[in-house]
Amino acid sequence: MQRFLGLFHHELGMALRRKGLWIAYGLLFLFHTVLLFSPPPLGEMIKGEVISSRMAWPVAGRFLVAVNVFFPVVAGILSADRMRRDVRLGLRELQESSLLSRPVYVLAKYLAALAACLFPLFLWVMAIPAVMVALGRATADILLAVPVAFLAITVPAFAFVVAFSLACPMVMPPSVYQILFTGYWFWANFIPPQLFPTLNGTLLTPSGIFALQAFFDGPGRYTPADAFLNLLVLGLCIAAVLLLLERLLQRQARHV
Amino acid sequence: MIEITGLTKTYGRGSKTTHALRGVDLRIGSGMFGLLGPNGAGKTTLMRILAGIVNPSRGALRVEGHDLTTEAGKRAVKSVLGYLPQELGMYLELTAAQFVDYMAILKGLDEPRERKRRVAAVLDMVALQDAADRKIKGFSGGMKRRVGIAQALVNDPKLLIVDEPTAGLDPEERIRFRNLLVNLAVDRTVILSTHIVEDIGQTCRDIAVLAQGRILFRGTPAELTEAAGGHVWNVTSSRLEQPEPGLTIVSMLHLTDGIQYRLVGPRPEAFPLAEAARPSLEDGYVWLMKGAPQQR
Amino acid sequence: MKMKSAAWRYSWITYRRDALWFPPALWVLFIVIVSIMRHPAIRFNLARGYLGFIVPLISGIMAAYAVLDDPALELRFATPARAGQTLLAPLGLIVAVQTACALSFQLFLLVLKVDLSPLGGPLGVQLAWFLPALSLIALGTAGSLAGAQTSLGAFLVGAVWLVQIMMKSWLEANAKYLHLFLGVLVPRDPDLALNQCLLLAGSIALLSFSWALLHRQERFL
Repeated sequence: MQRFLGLFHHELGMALRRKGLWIAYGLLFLFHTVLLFSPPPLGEMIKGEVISSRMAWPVAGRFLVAVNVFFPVVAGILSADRMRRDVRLGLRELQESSLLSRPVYVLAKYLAALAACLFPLFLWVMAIPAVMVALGRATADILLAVPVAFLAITVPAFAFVVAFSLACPMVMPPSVYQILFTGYWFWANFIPPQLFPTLNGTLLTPSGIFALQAFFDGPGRYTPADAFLNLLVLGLCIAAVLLLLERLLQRQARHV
Repeated sequence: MIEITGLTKTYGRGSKTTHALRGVDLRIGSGMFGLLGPNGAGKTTLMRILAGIVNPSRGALRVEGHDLTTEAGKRAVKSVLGYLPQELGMYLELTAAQFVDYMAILKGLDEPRERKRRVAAVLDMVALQDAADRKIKGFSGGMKRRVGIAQALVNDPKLLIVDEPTAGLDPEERIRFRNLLVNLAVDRTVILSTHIVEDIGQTCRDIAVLAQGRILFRGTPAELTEAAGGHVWNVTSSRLEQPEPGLTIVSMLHLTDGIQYRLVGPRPEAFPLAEAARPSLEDGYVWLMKGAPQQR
Repeated sequence: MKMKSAAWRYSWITYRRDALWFPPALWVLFIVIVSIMRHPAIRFNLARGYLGFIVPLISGIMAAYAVLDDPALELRFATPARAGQTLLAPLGLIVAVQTACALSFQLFLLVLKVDLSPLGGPLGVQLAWFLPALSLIALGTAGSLAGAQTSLGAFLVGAVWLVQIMMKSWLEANAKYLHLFLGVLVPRDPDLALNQCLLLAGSIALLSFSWALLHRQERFL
């Protein structure tokens, strides 16, 4: 446990100290904030009326699904080198010679990379409703709705993305992964299935659309059971990817 | 001839400022010049400034009359420069000959026949002629370093800068390197930057010691050695002891009848039978560093 | 600035392997998909997708790695090689590889009788993919060099690519001069020529910025 916490703490610190992370988020925050507070149809989240208690949950859900359009790109691209970095810097040999077990290593790195991607985003995601409440544009209920929506919609998406972003660059160059990931993110989440075969609308969709429709009154037909199944499938994918990553590291260590 | 006046380099701002070089003054003539100092002294920063890669924050710097603070001056120096950096990055998929050939092209050796001749000559100089057509990926650390020195020599430079060239090499490779550098210094300026005292002592007539961005010593190895005269002691003790403050243990040897210490500092009062020893260059360096301001 | 043919040869040999095999791999993938699909409209959309969106995305992210991923960067900086050469050699290879892929793809489409004339004449078709690719190359390069990190350039390319696609309707109505993909999506737009001039000017500006940044070599060590 100590080794896990120690590694998590250091990895999180290193990831949060990357200026690239804050620059990337800063640019997206600016872009999204302008988008949010623009007049409709762009800023459809902020219409004329005050966001009442009744509207807080649907608005929170739509807000976080909108966050899931672009923000996972930060996670996907910037997490792509976190695992591979240890190989490149020659740290794997040191780590393998220590008491650190591989499953603990993989889990700590994964959770730290995930936390580093979620933390700045969470700050911004809470700042927006806080400002709206302060300006009298929303009731305080939104301050509860948004973190719950964050947990239900954003965290699963990022968890899914970060797992693949750690693992895939171990078997392909990071630049190739980043291209494939960007293309995948668009294809799998935003192309209508009527137009082209896509993962959009299947249980493998991490965009948060299941949770939005099931729990946040979003338009559509998905039920809570569908949403939980979607989360379960995503969770199984994450677990499978992390397990394969651990096996890959084991194989690499054997062939040194 | 290299003339450095008031050279200063700082990184960062405010409370995070690092003063890598603080008003360094140096004149370096032809031959072998050694730059010694602990890790973090500013040696690599100085080497990179001389190589035209890093810009100084303040000060004047001329190499063979060219002003290294201007772009034109840098290009002029780079055309007669051979540089072997501390962290040597190479294209591992190339053969030794291909890599040196590529660097020769970047250095302006345009004529293919002459370039081929030079590549063969420098690989021969570093005893890699038999491995010229092997990929660098399969080379040992010492062989990679030799490829590094070969690319540094391919344009027959007037100024050769080698930064920590023997780090990680076995004793035989280190000796071979040192001898090669001394031969090269006959008709060019070779600046050897290292923290390995022995490399300096075996090769350089003219040295400077850099610490915390400042020149602490400028002179010959003999002068640095003499500075420790009367301050080096051999002591044999039957049990392990901490020396008194002000004394530095330079070496310890476990013998059958006790432990022999070599100490640098004032006469150890706890050991009246301490024998004065002839100082070595390493002792001189230690004695000099003892008197230097402490590293922050 | 002259690049000797030998220098180009070495740039080619030392070039990142993924930058060489990955574009053709995607080329093959799209060739296969287009071959499988029979409907002319679907084939056209796939062709447009590959040329207009995929080629620029690959170009931009590869460009983000092109300069800073050089293992011998410090050695290169210590030679008289100019900043322009350091910049344009790897980018030139990216453009060469992508151009080869785009042109050969169009030859394949000719064989399959896929009509690309909705994208304009021969020049219009080439500009429709080349200018977005050049723009993202310039953006990826400038982003990486400005942040002294390859991932920042890659992020900028990915983010801009996604934003431009997702917000295409808004861009077409309100900011068409900033629309990277106007030539691919609305090739008959009356302001297309101006849009393309601005894309070209923007690319040149970003590449000039990258060139200026490369003079501050110590940032990248």
